[in-house]
Amino acid sequence: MNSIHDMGGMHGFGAIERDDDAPFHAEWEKRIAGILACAAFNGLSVFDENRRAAEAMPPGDYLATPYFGRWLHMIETMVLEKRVATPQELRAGHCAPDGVQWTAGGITPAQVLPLFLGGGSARAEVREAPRFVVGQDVVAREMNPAGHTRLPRYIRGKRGVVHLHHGGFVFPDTRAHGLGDHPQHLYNVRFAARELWGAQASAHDAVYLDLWDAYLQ
Amino acid sequence: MSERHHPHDDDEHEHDHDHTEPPSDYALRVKAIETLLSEKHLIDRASVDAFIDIFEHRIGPRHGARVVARAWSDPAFKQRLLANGSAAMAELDIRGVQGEDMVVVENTPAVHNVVVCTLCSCYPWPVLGLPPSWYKSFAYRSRVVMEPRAVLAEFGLVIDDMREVRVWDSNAEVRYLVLPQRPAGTEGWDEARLAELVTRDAMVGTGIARTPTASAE
Repeated sequence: MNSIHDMGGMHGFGAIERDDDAPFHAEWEKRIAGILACAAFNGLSVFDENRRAAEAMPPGDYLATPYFGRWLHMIETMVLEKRVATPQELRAGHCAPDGVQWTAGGITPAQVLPLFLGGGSARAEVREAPRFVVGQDVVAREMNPAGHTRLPRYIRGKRGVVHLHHGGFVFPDTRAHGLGDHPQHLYNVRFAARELWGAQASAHDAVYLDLWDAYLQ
Repeated sequence: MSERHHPHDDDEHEHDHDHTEPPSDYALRVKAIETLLSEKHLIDRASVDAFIDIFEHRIGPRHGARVVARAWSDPAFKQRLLANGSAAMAELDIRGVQGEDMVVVENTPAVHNVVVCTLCSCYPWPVLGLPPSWYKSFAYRSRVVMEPRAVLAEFGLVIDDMREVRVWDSNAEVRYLVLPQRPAGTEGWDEARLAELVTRDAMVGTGIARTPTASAE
């Protein structure tokens, strides 16, 4: 999706402001972070779906919404989309007498830390041999999917060199839309800064991104 | 546009004695969804609390500092860390969500590394915690891939023209940690003492490790 979340190389956002570096600055920010994590571990949605929901915000709303407000938007979107709640229930803040009850998951507080430490790698086996080898020249495809993608606009059509082969990883472009994991080889690709930005960039610098097979030609 | 929070978005005043301001819309919406999803058994308050406890207390840059101090002290560990970040960190009992597949990139006299997520806020949670506001800011996300040297200068870091700057855009599910250079004058220091020199910024690449003199001040 070509939207405002894809910010690499944009102008106009000014200087970088620092605060106290704390992760949270209000009680509601903590709560929504915990709620989103808990719901995810109980199987409501995967990261890719949540990201897709935030990216689908109208650009003006995205810019005007604070970071954890976008997390709130993600979970509101997911519970509506997956018909776990109705808009009326969301407004009321209560489950309707005949409202849907969630039956999957059901993690207990004692399970939270072990589950967190166990993590959930996005690695997955790919049967096909890798198409590219380290050191090979590649081009990031020029494509403009209307759905979720992790191929930023600033590298599309640009030439790079494969720096690492990470192995197989689930594919966000399908996973974000409930269309399956479709694991693919993932590569780290080095792009010279001048290939991306022209002569204004340093001849010494480079940007590295992780790109799935389908993003490369 | 910055994402700094505004005082009226902060619901800390709910805990004050005089209720002169209403809670923010976000605080109300988060309360509503927490109640709703609890009634539906998608989440429960104690598990949400357990996740918040992890975010606030269990994870954070002190763990990344342990990893860096070990790498500075033990060349064999450093080799393993650069070869497989997650496996080496597990030796120090550091693991978890958003750290499943870690790559560690080493600063040298010839190369300075810096990490960003232009698409949102991907960040290595087990070693650095949840990201600070500046890392998630539109300014950092948009600018550091295109003008890394100007951004680093705003953080007080001037990189020599001949030194290569590598920007790592964490656009997939691999997470990056910078291994900073060990400061001079720390010969013979033990790991605990070395770890005190390792800042969050040094591990993102927007800073370098403290020098013994600076840390004594």
